[in-house]
Amino acid sequence: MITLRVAWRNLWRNRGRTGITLAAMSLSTAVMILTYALMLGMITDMEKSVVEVFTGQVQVHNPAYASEHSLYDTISRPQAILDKARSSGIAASVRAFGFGLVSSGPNSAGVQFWGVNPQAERSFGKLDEALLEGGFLPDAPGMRVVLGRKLARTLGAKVGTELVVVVQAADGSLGNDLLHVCGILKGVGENLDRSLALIHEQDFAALFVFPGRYHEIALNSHGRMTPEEVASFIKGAAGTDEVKTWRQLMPGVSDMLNSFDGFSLIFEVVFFLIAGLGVMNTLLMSTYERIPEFGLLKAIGTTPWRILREVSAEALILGIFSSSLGGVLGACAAWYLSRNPIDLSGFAEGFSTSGVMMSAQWGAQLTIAGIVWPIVFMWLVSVVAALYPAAKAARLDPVRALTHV
Amino acid sequence: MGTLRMLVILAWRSLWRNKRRTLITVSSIAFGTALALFLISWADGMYRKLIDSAVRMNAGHVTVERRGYNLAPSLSLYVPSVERIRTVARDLDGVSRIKPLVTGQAMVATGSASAGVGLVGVDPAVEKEVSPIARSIKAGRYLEPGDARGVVLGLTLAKRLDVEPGMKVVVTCNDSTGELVNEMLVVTGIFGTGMEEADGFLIQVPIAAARRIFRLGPDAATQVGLVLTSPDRQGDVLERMNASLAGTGLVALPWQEVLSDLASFMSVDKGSNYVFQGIIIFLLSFTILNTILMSVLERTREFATLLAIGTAPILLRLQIVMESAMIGIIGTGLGLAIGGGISLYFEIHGLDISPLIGKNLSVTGFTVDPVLRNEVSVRLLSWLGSLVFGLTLIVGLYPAYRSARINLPDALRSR
Repeated sequence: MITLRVAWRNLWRNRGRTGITLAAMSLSTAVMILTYALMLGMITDMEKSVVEVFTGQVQVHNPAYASEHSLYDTISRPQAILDKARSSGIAASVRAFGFGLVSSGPNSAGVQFWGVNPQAERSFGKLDEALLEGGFLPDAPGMRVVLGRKLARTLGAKVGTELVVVVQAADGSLGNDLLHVCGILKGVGENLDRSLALIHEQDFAALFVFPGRYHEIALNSHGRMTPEEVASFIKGAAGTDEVKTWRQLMPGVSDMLNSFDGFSLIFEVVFFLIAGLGVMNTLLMSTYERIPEFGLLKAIGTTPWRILREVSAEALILGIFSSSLGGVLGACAAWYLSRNPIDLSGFAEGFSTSGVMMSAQWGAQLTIAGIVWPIVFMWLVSVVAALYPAAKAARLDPVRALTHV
Repeated sequence: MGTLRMLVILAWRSLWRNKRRTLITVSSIAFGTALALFLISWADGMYRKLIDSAVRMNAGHVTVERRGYNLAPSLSLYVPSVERIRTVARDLDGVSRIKPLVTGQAMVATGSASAGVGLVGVDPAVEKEVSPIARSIKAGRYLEPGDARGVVLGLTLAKRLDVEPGMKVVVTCNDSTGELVNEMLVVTGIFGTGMEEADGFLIQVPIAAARRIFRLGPDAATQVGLVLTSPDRQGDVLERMNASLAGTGLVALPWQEVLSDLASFMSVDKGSNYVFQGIIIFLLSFTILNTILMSVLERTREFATLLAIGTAPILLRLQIVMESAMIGIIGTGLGLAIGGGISLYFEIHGLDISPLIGKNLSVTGFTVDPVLRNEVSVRLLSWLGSLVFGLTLIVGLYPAYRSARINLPDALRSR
C-alpha cells in the first residue's frame, strides 16, 4: 500500500513528465483502438456486401446442378424449404436459371436468365437498389428484363431497348420472344455483370415452358444466425438437395476476404510497432532521467527490489489512467466512425471486385477485443520500458547512479 | 553570422552532452520514418504490380481505338489499319510493345455444354512476351503464329465445357456485318491465371483467325494496345498519339478509362490508404513532440543557468529550434536509410506472404502475386523525408517556447 502511495506522489512531483507520458500512452491506445476498428469495419463491410446483395448466407441447389448446369436439375421440394425458412423468419429468394442468346441490332451475347419473384427479391437482398439506370422488375410479369452492366454494354442496350431472345425450352422447342430492358445493374460481380438477365419468374416459366421448377433458393437471416447455423437449420427440410454456405460456394471470394485479413494484420502490426515504440521511447527517456534519483534512494538504504516495485507501481498507475482515458477516447472515435462512415466517394463511386460489391462508405466496427488488445499491449510495453532502466539503476553503484547523466 | 555559428556549435554540443537522450529522440523519428516508408512503399509496389499485370493482359497502358468503342464496344467500331498505328507508335519514346487485339462476344459449344465468352484475337508472338496468360499455360501449349484454328481457354471454362487440349469446340457469333457465323476451333492449350475474369470468360485465338471469324480486314483490329517501358511515360505517349491521331476518328485512351473498374478500385483503396498514412504521420509527430518536449523539460536547470548568466531568451529558443532541426535531419536521414534499405531489399527479393493468405489473391479479376515487392522511388523518399523533417521543426517550436519560460529561482534550486 505504501508503495502505491509513494508511486502516486512520485508521479505528481514532476507533472510535466507525467503529463507527457500519460498523453503519449492514452493517445497511442486511442489510435490503436481506432485503427483496429477501422480495419475490422472494412473487412466486415466486405463480407456483408457479399452476402446482402443477392448471394445470401446459404444457398440450396440440386447437387447435380453445380457440375452440369442443366435446366432439368431442379430443387425437389422447394416449398418445404421455404416453409422451414419462414418458420424462423429467415428471408428466402427462389430462382430459376436458364441459358439463352440475346441480340439487339447487330450485337448479340449469350446470357444467363434468372427467373425471380421481384417482390421476394426486393425483401431478400439489395439487387433492386443496385441499379445503374432504369428501375427494377415490376411485380407483375410483362416480358421486362434487367441486364448486367457489361452485358448491356456489349449489346449496346439502354433502358427501353427491345431485345430478341432465343432459348432452348424445357420441352425441346425453340423459345423465341421479345424483351424490353427496364433497368441496368451496377457492377455486382464479374460473372453477373457479363451475363445476367433478370426476368419475372412467370415470364421465365413461359419462355422456357418450365413452370414451378427452381434451381436455387438463397437464404439470409440478416445477421441473426451465422451461415453455418442457417445451413444446419435448413438441412432437414432440403432432403437430397445440397445446402451450402457462401464460403463453400464462393471459395475465391472467401479467399480474397481472408487475404484482406492478412493484409490488415500486417498493417496492424506496423501500427502497433509505431505506437509501441513511441510509448517505449517516452518511458525510457523519463525513467533514464531519474537514474540519479534512484541513486539517491539507494544511498539512503532503499533496496533494489523496492525501487523496482515503485517503478512498476508508477507504470501501473500510469497504465490504469492512460488505458481508461485512451480506451474511452478511442472507443468514442471508433463509435463515431461506425455511425458516420468515412466517405471515400471523392475517390470513386462504389464498385465491385471479384464479386464483392464495395461501397465507398467506410465505417468502423467496435468490439470488446478491439479495445482490450491495444490496452494489454500498451501495458506490456510500458512496464517493460519502465522496468528496464529502473532495473539497471537498481543494480548500479549509488555513487555512479547519482552522477549518471 | 557569428551568432548563427555559435548557435550551431552550442546546439550540436548540447545534443551530444546527453547522448542517450538524443539517441532516444533520434530513434523515435528514425523508426517512425522507416516504418512509414516501408508501409507506403509496400502499398505502392502492390499497385504497380496490379496495374502492370492488368494492362499487359488487356489493352496496354495506352489503348488506341475508335471513338465511342470504350462506352459501347461493337465490332463495327474498329481500327482499320494497325500498320499505321504501328508506324507512329514505334518511334515514340517509352513504347515497348504494340499489341493489336480483335475482341468480340461469342458462344462456345462442345457436345455437352455451351458458354458465353469474350473472344480475343491476339498476336501470339507479342502476347508471349507481355501477357500473363501466355505464361500460365497449365495443359497443352500457347498459341503459335501459324495456328489457323487454335484456341486457348481458361481452366474454369475448360471444366465447364469439359474439354482438353486437342479437342474441338464450335464458336458461334455475329460477325461485323451482323451475320451469324459458326467456326470450328481446336483447343491447343488451357491457361490458369487465377483470375476469375480470364479463366472463366476468355478465349484467345490468333488474330488472323479472329479477323476471319468476325469478317474484318487483314490489318484491322478493335483495339491496339501500347505496353510502355514505364507507367510514368503514359501522359507523354497519350499526348503524342492523340496529336497524330487527330482527325482519323481514332483516340488513344489511358488504361484508367479502358479498365475503369480497376481504376476505381485503386482509387478507393488509395483513399483508405491515405487515412492510414494520416494516422501514422499523426502518431509520428506526436511521438516527436513527446520526446523533444520531455528532453527540454528535463533540462530546466541547465536553461535556468544559461538565462541567469544573461543568455537572451530568444537565443536559448533558437538553440532549441536548432537542436530539433539537427535531430530532425539525423532522424529522418537514418529513418530513410533504414526504411529505404529494408524496402529496397524487399523490392529486389520480394516478401512472400502466401503463408499468411493461403493462395493467390485476385482483385477485380486481376491476380495479385503473393510475393510482394515494395516500390521505393526518389519521389517517395523526398516527400516523406521533407514531411517528417518539417513536422519535427514545427513540433519543436512549442518546446523551444517552453524552454525560456521558467521560474529561475525554483529551477536553480531544484536538482
